[in-house]
Amino acid sequence: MKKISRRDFLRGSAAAAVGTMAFGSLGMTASAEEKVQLKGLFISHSLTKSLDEMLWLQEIEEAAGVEIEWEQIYTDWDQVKSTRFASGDIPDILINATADSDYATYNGLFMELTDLIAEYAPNITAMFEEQPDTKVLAQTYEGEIYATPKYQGKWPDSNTVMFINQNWLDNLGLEAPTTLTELKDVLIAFRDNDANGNGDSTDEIPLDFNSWFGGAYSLTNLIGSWGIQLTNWGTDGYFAEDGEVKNYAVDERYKNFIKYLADLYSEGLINVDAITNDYSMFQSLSRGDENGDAIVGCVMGWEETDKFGPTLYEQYVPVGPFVNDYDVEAGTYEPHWTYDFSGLNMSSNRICMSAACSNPEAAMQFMDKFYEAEVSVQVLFGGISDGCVEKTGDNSYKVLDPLDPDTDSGTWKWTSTMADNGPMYIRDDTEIEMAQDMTYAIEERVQYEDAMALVDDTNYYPQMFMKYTTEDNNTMALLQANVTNITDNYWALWLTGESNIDDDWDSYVESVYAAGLTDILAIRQEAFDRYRGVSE
Amino acid sequence: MAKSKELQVVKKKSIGWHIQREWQLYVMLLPAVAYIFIFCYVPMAGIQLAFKDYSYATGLYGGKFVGFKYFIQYFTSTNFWPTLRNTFVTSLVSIALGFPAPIILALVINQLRNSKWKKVVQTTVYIPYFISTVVLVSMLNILLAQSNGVISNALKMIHLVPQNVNLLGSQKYFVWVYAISGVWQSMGWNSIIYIAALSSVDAELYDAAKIDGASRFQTVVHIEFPTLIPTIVILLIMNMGNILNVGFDKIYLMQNSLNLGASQVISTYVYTVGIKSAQFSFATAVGLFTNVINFIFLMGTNTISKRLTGSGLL
Amino acid sequence: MAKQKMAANKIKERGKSDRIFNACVLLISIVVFLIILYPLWFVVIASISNSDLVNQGKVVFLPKDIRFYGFKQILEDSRIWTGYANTILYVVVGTALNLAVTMPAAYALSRPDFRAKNPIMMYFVFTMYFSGGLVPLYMTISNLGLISTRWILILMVLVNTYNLIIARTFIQNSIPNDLYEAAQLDGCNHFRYFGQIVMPLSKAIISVELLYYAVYHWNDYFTALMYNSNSDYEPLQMVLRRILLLNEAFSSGNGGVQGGYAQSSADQVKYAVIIVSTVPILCVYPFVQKYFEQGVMVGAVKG
Repeated sequence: MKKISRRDFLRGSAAAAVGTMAFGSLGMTASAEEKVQLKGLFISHSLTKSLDEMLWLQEIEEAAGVEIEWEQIYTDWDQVKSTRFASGDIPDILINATADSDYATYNGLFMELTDLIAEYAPNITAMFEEQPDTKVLAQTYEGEIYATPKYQGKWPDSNTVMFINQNWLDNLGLEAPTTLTELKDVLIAFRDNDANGNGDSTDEIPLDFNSWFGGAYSLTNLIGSWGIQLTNWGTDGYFAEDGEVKNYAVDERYKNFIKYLADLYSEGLINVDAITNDYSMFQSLSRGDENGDAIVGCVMGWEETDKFGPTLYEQYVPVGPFVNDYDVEAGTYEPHWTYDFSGLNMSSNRICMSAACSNPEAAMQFMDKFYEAEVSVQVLFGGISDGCVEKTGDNSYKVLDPLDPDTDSGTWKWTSTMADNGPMYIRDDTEIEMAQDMTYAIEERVQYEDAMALVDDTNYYPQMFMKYTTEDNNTMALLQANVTNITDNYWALWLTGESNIDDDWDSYVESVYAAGLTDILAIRQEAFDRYRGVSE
Repeated sequence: MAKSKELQVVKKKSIGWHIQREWQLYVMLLPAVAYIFIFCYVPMAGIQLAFKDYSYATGLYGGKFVGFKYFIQYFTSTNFWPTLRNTFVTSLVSIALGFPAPIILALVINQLRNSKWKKVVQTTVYIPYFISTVVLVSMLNILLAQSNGVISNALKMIHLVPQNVNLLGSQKYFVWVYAISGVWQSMGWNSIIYIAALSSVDAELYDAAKIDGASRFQTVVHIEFPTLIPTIVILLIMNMGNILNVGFDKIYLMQNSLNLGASQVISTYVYTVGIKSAQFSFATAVGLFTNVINFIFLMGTNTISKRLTGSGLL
Repeated sequence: MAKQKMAANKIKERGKSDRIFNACVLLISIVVFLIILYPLWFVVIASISNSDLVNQGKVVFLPKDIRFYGFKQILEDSRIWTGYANTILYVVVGTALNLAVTMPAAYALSRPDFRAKNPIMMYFVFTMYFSGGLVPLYMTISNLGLISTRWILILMVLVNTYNLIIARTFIQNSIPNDLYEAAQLDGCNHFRYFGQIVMPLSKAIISVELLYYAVYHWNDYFTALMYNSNSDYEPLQMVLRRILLLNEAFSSGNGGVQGGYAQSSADQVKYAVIIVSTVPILCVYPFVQKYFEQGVMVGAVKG
């Protein structure tokens, strides 16, 4: 997914430069006062209000006996980061500010936390024990811990749902498709008839999508019909099969998958602007025309009210996964669907500490507070004292309606708390009654329950848990850029029919491997084996 | 004429005379020179990073010396030639279209007789300069959309482009969309310097031309255009010295899978590598390489222009 | 008689060719004007139309489903007024300093007889191509104690080499050298010659430089981004940038990030920001423009 923020990498990073130490942070002192004074940095969503206004945060500072002077950065942190880090100008505690590669690049800038966690952080220790994946996530290749991750557990198994317009199906007297051939027939019916019934039979867009490799709303989600299991959006096309790491961009099945889609495209079933539309144009299209008529027949999204707006959403229902009866006999492949549980529920590098922190014990105790059961809920949805969450039982909570009647619950969450950017550990047994859109999101995914059951240890490939040496990381970054440059170009040429896949395929595969895929796969395989504990 | 005569006179003067004469010039240069020293030359040592493995622990000037490792990494990458070529092509087309446009515009505006209309045109044409890249690209996406973009439809109607072409997703048209939208955005702004230069045309020359019976077109060609030549030469030299710098933001936002073959330029490539793992040294090395090329182009154009016109940057 | 007729014919012909010439000039100016105007008009209508319809390409000549969410978002934000005030301060003080440093330096480098001219020129040009990068610069600024002060926001680009070269070229080519020789005979030194003759004759280039520097300061958010973390000192562009991001469509994939935040109006902000940030600086141009009028300079003095 492309980020639409303006960034000048050459400037920001040719900047590239570097730095010596400098002053660490000056937080601390406080022999006179009771409380430990610390400085903190939070990389904030642009909606989020000032941390000083969050009562829950003040409560945990109080409880941990610290007082923190917060700096909140809203924009362009990736540009500013290298400068601040390289010059050593960082505060005691940093939330949502680091990435895996930073600990190696700025070796010595951050505090190694393993011992501190064992001694002062019972909640983090509990998380590591109860959800072992979080510990894997936290550790570097060498087994050191510089930052602690989050676990929010309540999000669904898949990021993506494919929706189809039920009203259109009803208008044309059709059933929801279950195979690839049926899907094509339905789309043709959408194209040829005035499915939305507004008297214009040309304004229907049968199928729309956004971006490709690793895109959440990309058609690559359909490659599950060829028996390929994607994990966490299948970033860059990598997946696992029988314990082997592969890339579908060079898989024979991908060739047939593209042929199927190119067929749809040549029939005029796929939005011709989809490849060049940006995300906000993609979103706009699904929200109907000026008369409120739906114009998109079939499209992927996160949740229907988000995707289709407050009125049109009622027309759409989840659909898929589809049985492949296009290039093989139906039943050859069991249809898979993208499995994103770890991607949606866990993320690394939530909170970390400066190596120059004046009072690591106090800082660690404060960091651990975020991971308390009751605090975690408030980190994600807003404080109890702030009026965002109500405690309804010993271990159960209710997310309240926004205090500002003009906003929806999603916006409200991001406005009133750190939300997904914060550190937290939501226990699996904590009960949370969430807002409407989350309820819908979970209901919609019942559609894919059978497909989700096909995920197992040999085809589950969560890239976020793989650890590499710095050297390997740099090598892969360079090679991946070369590989992507080829793969990202060809799919579009094939889809639109500008180039013939049968003619190109052999030399394409060869050049992708030559550009570095062979080396990348070797490095990845080793890490995957280590993760599964099967390294020979 | 006056110049060479003066130089002869100058040669005869003693060094003492020069110091006495020139100390005032040094004083006038002092603030600028001092500023550049502090803000550009003091931090300049960062360049050595291109030849080192950066490590925070050893600091800015420590680190292991790796020689040309990062340069070689770039030169041997499969993307080296394509990105270099794309950068050159994008840049050359931009200069070819974008450089003459403001000159012509300035001459046209200068010829407008109705002073109200002149003011209106003059104040409108430079507004696009203030439109941010993000919005410019959003507008291109909407106005040039294949299915119902207003401008792409208009261009198809007058058969300026093929009927089924996707202007946003085409390797062939990418450069033109990039360059022409660039002309649109900066033509007016860049014409300001020429308009200012035209105000220095000697009024006597106009009178003389009138007496000679020159037509207005002849006045433009023989009086106004020559006045602009020194400015044109300097700006052309500086443009050529920017040959490998193309607008990163705009290209990055305009990039899509269909035009990637033409739109992957050096800066976007370095950025793609950097997303996965921030590599200071690699980025610095590539940055240094492009600037060396730029500098060579600058000096080359400067030399050529000195030969041809007798004037140049240095 | 015949001669007279021929001369008359010539004048007639010239009149005719001039008329054609005028028509061409007018035509070109109208075409250019329209080509420039339409996209500008598009920004205006997009800033008040339903964003979904804008994105679908259905807003073409007139706004549709008019709403003022974008402008409301921007103008209701209290930080925007501090942002304006700060920016005006940086523009005024910054540009004044820029001119005070650039013009004398440009004059010195324009002297054909100045012996150190080329080495010093090289000293400036070199920095256009080679720089140590942001981190060493950050550390230098930090050592000077300028991080998060107003000074850095004013001083960041005290002299721009490109602008310096343009000013030098202009002075070199538009002010005749005989003027200097004459002044020298009158016992005029460089300071006086610069102050009393060069500056008044350089109104056009001073206007250009003023415009270049002022617009640079006006648009600059990068300095504030890198070297300032005090929100009281934030310039307008920084405030607008934050408002802009606030309304950017939530990117997908974070899981539940969505929630249709003012969906069909959010993109309005993108266009409204252009209008809010551009209109004030546009007001500067008419004041500058009058110095571009023909013959305000050399002719007058010489005459």
